[in-house]
Amino acid sequence: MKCSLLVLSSYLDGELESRRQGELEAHLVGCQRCRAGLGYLREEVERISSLGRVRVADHSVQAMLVHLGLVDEDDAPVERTTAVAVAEPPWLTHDALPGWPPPPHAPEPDSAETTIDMIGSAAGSSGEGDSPEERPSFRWVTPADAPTLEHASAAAAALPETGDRPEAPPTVYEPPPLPPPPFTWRPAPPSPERDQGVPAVPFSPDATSPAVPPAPAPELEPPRGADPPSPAPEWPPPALDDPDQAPSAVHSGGAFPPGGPEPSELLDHATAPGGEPEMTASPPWAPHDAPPEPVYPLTDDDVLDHPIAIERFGPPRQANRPNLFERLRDRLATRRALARSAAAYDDTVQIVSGSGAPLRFGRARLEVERRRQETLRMDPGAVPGDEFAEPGVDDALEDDLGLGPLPPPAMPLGPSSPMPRPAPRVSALGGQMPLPGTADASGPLRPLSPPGHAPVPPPRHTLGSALGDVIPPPRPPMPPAIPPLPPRPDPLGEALADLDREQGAANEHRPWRPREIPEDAEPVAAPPRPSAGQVPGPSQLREGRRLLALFGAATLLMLVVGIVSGRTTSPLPSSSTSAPSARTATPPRTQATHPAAKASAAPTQITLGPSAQAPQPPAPAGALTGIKVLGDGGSGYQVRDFRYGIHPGDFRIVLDLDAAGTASGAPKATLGFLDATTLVVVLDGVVAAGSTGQLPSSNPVVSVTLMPQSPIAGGTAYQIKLAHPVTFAAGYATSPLRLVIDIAG
Amino acid sequence: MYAAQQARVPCTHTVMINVAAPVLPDASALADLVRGHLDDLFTYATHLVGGVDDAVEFVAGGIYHASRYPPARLQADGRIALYRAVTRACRQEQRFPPRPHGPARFFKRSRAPFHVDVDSGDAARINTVKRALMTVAFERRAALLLRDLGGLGYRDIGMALECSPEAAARLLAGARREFGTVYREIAI
Repeated sequence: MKCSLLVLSSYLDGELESRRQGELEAHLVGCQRCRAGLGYLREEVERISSLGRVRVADHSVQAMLVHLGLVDEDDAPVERTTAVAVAEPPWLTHDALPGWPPPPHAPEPDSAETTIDMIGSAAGSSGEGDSPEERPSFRWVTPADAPTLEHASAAAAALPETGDRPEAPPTVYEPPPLPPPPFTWRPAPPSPERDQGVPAVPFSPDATSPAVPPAPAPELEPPRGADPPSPAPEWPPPALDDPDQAPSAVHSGGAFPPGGPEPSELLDHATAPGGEPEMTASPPWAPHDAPPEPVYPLTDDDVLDHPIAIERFGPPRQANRPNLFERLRDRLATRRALARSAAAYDDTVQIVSGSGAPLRFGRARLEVERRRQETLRMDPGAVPGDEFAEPGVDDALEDDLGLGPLPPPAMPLGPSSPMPRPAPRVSALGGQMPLPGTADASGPLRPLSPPGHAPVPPPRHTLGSALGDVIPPPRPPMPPAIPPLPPRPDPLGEALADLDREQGAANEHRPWRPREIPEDAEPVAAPPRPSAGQVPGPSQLREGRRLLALFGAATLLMLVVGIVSGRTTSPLPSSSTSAPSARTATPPRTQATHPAAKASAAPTQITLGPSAQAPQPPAPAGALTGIKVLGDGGSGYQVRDFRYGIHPGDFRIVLDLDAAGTASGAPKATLGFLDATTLVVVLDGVVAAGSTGQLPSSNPVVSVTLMPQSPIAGGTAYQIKLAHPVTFAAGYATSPLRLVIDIAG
Repeated sequence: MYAAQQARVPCTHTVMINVAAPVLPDASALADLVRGHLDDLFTYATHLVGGVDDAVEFVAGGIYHASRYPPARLQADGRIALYRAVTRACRQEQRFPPRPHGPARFFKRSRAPFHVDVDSGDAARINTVKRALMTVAFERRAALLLRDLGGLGYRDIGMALECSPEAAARLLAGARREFGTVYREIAI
């Protein structure tokens, strides 16, 4: 049987079937780790059980039910009957012990009804606000309370000394409420009556004829006076009329608090009034009801002192050979489990908390492997998981709940100690050193056995061997082996034997180990490169496909990045880069009235018709239409400022030119339409201005910008965007030199 | 098919089929059941969600759901049905009264506040056990509380958590392991 936390938990909850329970108890005898785990689980159960309780006020309960629509507001509030009424056991009745004071939680003698509230915490941690008036409280009698003993002492203090040796009261001796033993304590399964909340039933004071049958035994405390618990340390109880034995019998259980009265004191002073022995010396149960001896030991000392033969269940059953469907299913399940475990650690229930438990996360596998290796090196025969698993245990709970590597099991002492197992025959590969502790490693240290004798396994160091009480008997000498007959030539048999050897060698499981290369070994030549016609393996194909996919992804990424960056940096070339679609070039018309025209050559007025509105990219000089050239080719000027003016008949743009150093003449200015609404001004040998000034609000000019690329090489080009087709007249004005452009239309 | 069966099997006796709807318990029976187990439900929900205020709303939500969809066998598994309803309410955060959500909450009048006088006592105090308990996953925590605090069996836990008894056993074992590990880590 494997160590399993699930089985331990189910055993602790009493949900284990009887057969499995027996197996577990037998396993617990020899498994210290499972015993510790069971103790841990029990502690956790107690911690959870000791959590605080919540108590809802009665008026809030009624208000809540009204709010939820379960009851009407007019309905009278109903007293909550959460109690389960049971007949008060005789050991709690004060009538059974006349003269004893009633227990503190017991009702008054004239009280007709008694209810026992099961809602209170089983550990005695009921709410702080509980009061007997609001809610009939009940606390299971704990060993610390020991009301019977306390009452006995109180009664003894009140009673006069008679000097008579009292008869032992039947209720004075009570089975010592030991802490729940690990192997016999099981919580009772939840009773449906208790769960459903049986309404309170009046309690009949007559203990001999209770109104209702007694409730099942509570979970944490066996009822007093009922069947005594099985793990009574001494049974039957000694005769209580012997005062020398009674205290020891009662005290052996450790049921009395340290500060409480001693049993001897109770027996000395607990005398009934009048000296009449009203308490019988016999225990309240019949002797034949005595519980049997505990089957399983409770402590390790018991294990060592009294080895117990573990009941076996016969030879393991032979499992049926799985059919094709089952084998296929198992193979699929195994593959799936391996694939899943490779991705993430399966965090199912398989670890016992406490020492020796593997870690919770991914390190657990490494930790398990490390412990396994350590165990193998320390004790090659104690590799866990392969020798204790009993085949034929048809329980699915054991399959998936291995607790990982266990420490080397302690060898039980006694005559039933099994013989030490020989070390596994782990042979090292060629060129490798065997692991220390394996059979091959320890082989040279052992004396060579004579030929024909079976090799004697090395004795294991146990406590028994150290003390010298276990002496292995000497082996009788084996008779000399009969020399085999000379083999006859059998070519078919030899061929089959060779085939078997080859297959066996191929199928032999060899754990991987790093190969040790001797220092004086010659360097191994590089493996020959595969020829061109050699077919690549699956791994190479897989790697090639991976590289191809990476290359494709990188190429696609670069393509996308290039397209995006290209769209953001430069506009795509338009197909309509040709001249404006509709242009009407009219002969230039001289405007003699224009003041600027008087000082310069006659400006030219160009009338353009409607054309396409699409923006045009920078075009060469040949693409300009209606070109007007001004100036004599002077140089050394720079555009200082742009000025705009609105006039009644036109819109004027003035470019102020300053001489940068030595300037002469007027720079060559070329004006032309790039399209119907784009006027381009190109100045040769002129440095561009920093800004183009501020345009007025209402004018036919939309914007004036410096073109990054001039349609005429070496010139500074300004692009004047127009709101609609216009005509223009341009000329130079001197002193200072300025270019005047009048836009009409 | 039916005619063939009728022709082959002579009708020699009367087959009585109960076509009546299951008799659902009335509200008073459910109210009595709630009265009997309200403290346990509050205790369970308080330790399950880690707070008394939320537990009040969740328990009310669960009971409200159980009142709308009462179990058919109230006397048989009414307690388990209540635990199941409260567990679902805690898992899905179904409160009563439901908290307004959506933009319509700005134009609606919210319900009257729901107040319950609860004497939490030790249950409201945060200690090491409760801190360790809150680190356990919800389902495991629920299984742990149902078993060790509510005293339910594996079958009942499975019904409350809507799983099989085997799954409940595994949940419980895992919860104990996880709780014990965390408790020993933080209790130092």
